Amino acid sequence: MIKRASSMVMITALLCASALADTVTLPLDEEARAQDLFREVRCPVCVAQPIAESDAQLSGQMRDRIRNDIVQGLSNEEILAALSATYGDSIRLKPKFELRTAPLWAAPWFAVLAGLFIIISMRRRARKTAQPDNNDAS
Amino acid sequence: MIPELGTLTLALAMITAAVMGVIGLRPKMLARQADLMRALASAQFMALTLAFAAVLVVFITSDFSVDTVHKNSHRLKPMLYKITGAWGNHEGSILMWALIGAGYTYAFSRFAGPRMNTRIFSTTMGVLGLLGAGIAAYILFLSSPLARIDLLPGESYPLEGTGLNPLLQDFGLAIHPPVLYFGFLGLIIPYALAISYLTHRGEGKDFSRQALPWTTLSFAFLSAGIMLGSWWAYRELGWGGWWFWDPVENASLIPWFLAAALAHSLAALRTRNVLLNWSLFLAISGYSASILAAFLVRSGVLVSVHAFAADPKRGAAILLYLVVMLIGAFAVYAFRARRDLPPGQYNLISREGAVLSHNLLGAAAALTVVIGTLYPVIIQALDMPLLSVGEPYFHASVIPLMVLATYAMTVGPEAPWRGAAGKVLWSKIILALSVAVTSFIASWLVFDISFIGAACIGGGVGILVTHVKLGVKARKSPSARKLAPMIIAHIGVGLFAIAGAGSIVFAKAGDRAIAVGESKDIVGFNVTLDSLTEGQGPNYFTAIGGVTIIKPSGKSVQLEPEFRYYPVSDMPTSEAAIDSNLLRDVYVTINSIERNEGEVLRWAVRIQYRPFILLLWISSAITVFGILWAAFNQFAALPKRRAALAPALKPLVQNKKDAVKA
Repeated sequence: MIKRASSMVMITALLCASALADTVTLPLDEEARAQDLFREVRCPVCVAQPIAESDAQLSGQMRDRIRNDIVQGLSNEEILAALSATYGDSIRLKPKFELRTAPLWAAPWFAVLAGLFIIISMRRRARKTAQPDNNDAS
Repeated sequence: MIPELGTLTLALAMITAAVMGVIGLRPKMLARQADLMRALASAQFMALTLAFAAVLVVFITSDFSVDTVHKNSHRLKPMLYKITGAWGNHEGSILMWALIGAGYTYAFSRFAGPRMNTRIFSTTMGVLGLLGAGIAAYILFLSSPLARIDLLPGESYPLEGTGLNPLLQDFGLAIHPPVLYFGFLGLIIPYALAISYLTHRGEGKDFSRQALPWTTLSFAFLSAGIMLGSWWAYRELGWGGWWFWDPVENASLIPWFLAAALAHSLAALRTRNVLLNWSLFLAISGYSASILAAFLVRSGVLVSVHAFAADPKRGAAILLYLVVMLIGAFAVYAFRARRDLPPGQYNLISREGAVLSHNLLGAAAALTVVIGTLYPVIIQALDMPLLSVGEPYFHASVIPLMVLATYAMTVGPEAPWRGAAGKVLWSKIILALSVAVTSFIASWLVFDISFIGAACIGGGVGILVTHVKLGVKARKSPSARKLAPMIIAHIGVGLFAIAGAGSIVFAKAGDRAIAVGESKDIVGFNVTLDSLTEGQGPNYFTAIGGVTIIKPSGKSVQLEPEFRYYPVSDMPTSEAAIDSNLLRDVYVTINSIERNEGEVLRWAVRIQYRPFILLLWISSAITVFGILWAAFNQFAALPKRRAALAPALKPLVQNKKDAVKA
């Protein structure tokens, strides 16, 4: 009795986990390209997980869709644009460069350039104050 | 009874900390002020230890009348996980935060107190007291792990708990959060010291000597804690990766970058008396980043695999704490930073220059991680179309900065402090760089891998060559003992750069549906599913696959990946089976199934080929060992006697003379 109950629970659990996907087979180098794309697409039903790692059924279907698109000869950007059209922009884990993502993409280089600017101006000032006749240190 | 006693000791801890804050920050000093500070620190630490002990007791005895125990524990849970469950939840983990903070405060008062200027010591303790009182008040009023369930008339306390997230039932949880918290909280001492030295305009070199050991210790714990978390995720999540750029992982990375920068800028301050204001700024930012991390993890503003810890209402309180901390500290900084001192004089082609470039990259990386992690939340708050920021963004933004830092590390140790004149130094630098760049280009061309991956491998090789050379040269010199920790830690980083990049650029993964008895080819491995055994664990159902893998070399290996289902929390998990050696891991998971009317047809078997994973853990351990050794040396080098309070104007005059001479 317990045995039966347990296997019933097991079945529901596994059905939740997913049915199989990944039915399309690609040649090795195209599969590598597909795997790279899988890392850029967020699984819509999971928590912050790319479809590359997700066990959800939808992710499996999306992986197959991407593989099919590759077979069709679509470019990476075309594939991602098509997925965005279906599932929304938040599907991309690497936001496209546009006005509202400009600060995001500029941040690291802005930080480095601002730092360099500060260092250079400090060194200018240091060189000035090093001259004995200049007392203005502020 | 036990929960009430624990609550009482919590209240005592809050009061002692508040008293310590008020007395420590009063301008007028009492007789025996330092002794009083020490006594209060001991009392606070003891009270919090008792409160934490009370939480452990209610978890071990499964006292389900306590809300936190009821929500996070279960009688069926193995004893080890009942204990670790005490900090596997919001309330318990914040109490552990407060306890470790009090522990650092106590250790600081014992260890540094007698060797410091009393006034500076007392203000530092005052700041630590206020920080401790704030956390204790938060626990007491908003997030008590000892509060009993509010009963309606006629209700009785529950007899069973509601379980625990199965992902957390792992030995990793026993050690990952405490170690990480030792890292986060270690930065509380440099933060308080910075405010105190700013207030009293203490001497820069003295500040660096006092702040350096705590910074380095905390840097070691942060590194160890982050890598333990990564190790746990690799084994337990069953996804095959070791770093996911998950918001909560990012949260721990921010203070790590700042601690790394601070440890190096303090070394420059100690040796060359440069970068004082910058170090003070970093010290304030470091602990603020720790609190930011707590806020990000605990508030629920971020969607993450750590979501089990989230609670929005309390997030607001932590945010308030963070804002007060930031405004207070930066106000002190704005008014008291030494703008009267002339800026430091140093040659850019020197050790100082290398430290500076490393600091610049580290600070930029920290800022990028903050922005990348918070950007989706900000966009959402502005009502713009939602977006996600994940691994590919961080690979394109933070990784290049880190890779550049490996080149700074390749060059840095070749340049002496103050720099050196002439061609000798330049030829050393060019030689070191050309080793790195040659390996970069060679690996890029030979292996046909990504540009940034190859650059990272090149930087790693550069670090290794520079530091092995340095080690061989310094082996017999009197400075060997002083240099050894740095060389070891950096060699660990070099190995890590190679292993980390290699584990990503050379990885292969694939999945196939396989029926029992069937064989299929997955990423070059011949995989046979020999058997599948269904069974029951203490609190889960399980299916264990017997998988035989024939490697391309012809050797075969037996592995048993497992699929588990925890009915209490309705969660499936994958327990990966890993065949590991120094060169590569083969990572096998079974995680989904195709059924037809209850009959199992096929299992999805996923094979991931991951190079250098073992090297990744080993190199992290080497780095942590090196940093710990450095921290030990720095503690030993703390000044023996109490330094006189440095008069505000004296250093100015001395520095001007220095400046004129230089």
